[in-house]
Amino acid sequence: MAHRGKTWGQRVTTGAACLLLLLAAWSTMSWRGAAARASAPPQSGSGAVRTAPPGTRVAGDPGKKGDTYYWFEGQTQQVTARFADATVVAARGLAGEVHATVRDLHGNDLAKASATTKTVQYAPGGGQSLLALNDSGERPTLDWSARQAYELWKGGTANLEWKGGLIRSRRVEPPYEPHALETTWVNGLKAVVTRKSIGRIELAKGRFAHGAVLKGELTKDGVAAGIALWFERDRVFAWDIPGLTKGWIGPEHLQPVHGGWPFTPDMQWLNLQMIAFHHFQTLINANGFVARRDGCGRESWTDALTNFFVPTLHANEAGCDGLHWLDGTVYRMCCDIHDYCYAKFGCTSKTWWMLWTSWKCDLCNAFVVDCFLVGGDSWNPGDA
Amino acid sequence: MMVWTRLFVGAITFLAAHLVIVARWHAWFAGGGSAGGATPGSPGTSDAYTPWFMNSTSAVAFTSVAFLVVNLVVALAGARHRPDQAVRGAGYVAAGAVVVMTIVLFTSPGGPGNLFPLAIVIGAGLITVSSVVGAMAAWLVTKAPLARRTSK
Repeated sequence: MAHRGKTWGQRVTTGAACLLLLLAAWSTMSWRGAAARASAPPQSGSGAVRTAPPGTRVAGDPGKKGDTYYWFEGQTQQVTARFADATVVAARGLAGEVHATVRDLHGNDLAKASATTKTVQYAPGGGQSLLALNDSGERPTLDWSARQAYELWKGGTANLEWKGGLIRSRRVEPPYEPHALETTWVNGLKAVVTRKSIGRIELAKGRFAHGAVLKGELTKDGVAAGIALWFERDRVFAWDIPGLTKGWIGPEHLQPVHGGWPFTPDMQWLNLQMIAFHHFQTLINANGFVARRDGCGRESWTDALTNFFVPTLHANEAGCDGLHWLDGTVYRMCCDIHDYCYAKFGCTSKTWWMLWTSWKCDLCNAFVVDCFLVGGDSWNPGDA
Repeated sequence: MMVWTRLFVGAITFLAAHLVIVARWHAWFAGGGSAGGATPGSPGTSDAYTPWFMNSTSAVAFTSVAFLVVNLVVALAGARHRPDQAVRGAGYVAAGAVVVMTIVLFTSPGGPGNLFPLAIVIGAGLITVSSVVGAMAAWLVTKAPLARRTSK
């Protein structure tokens, strides 16, 4: 019996070892195959379709312009960049190309430029014109074309090079910066950013910021609709869109996830950020629900926010934090509503155990627990 | 096998599985989206989720299989051949794992997330179920020869 038992133990051990080896081999082969499929992009629209499993986040890099940025930029009707000696007005042509006109302080045309994804053209009032291939590596935007036109007008068309995404004459000085940038968007929204210096203000208890700022002012149909400030030294972004949203973000908020600000906001970003706040918050307030699950493949409002703005601002993940394998399931809606609820009432993960801080946050948490318990079927319009 | 040993085995198993997930996050678990990179959300890299076993379906499968196999082996080695003993042993292994899982969740970059209680409960459920399945598989494997021995 003892001999038979030992033989059985050896068999089991051998079987377990074989099972482990088989599992390891299978997993290595399948995952490596998946990785190879994911890492090898098809050439010229041919080849295997690369799929991303649920839970894979394929939103944009927070430090780079993403789809939402370009969507907002594409809705911009006009950008006006004001320099000390000239004003550049950029607008979009009928075929999608961008045009910029450099004018003196009296409104006389000095030079014109236009750009597509392929070419950059520049025609000064006098002097050498230019036709160059667009090697900027990015889609031409109105802000970019205004800066590009001014660079060429100011520096001339001789001895040129690509530097920082702009065609510039060879020199060591940084690119010229406007002192004011005006962005005219659809729906009567207009944002203007100027450079200022302001005294010390208290953003929150014990948290101050001061010094040189980019100050953005938003108007809706000509009526003041909000302001935003970017403190260059403190690297703090603060905004107040009355009736919609108010807050501030400093490096301390972004440190855990992004290690600080992953990019340095510029004038156009500030304008588009203010417009985005107004646009998205107005839509959210009107719809009363943050995620559109209409099955048409359109982005939810949270996804759209996440694509460019939220990762850089709220450091919150769209979908189910810590449970992203459920993002493609019915539970996603529970998580989206919970995210929205948290954003609306200023909750943090601490409110799970600090029950006394906010009963609204407690309700957010109670809702998501109930939603998970009943399989994502507890939501009714108006709950959020 | 002692209770503490099983708790330790559970903790080590989760830690090992987590380290594998962290090391092979982009290559095996598609956690990095289309471009491989470093820490999610870090400047200039792909913006993926934090390496964590419940942030990817394949990582959930990997961790579950790991606990199933470990409990199978532990149950066989422990020679506990009654179902209640097997389940209790699996519970100890799962308990050790859940302790480490909670520590990892709270120390991961970006914090535990705003759904961490649910993450802990669901994670504990996954680990416990796979552990119990592994232990019961061991019981099934050993039941036949035991039955034969008893009949003789």
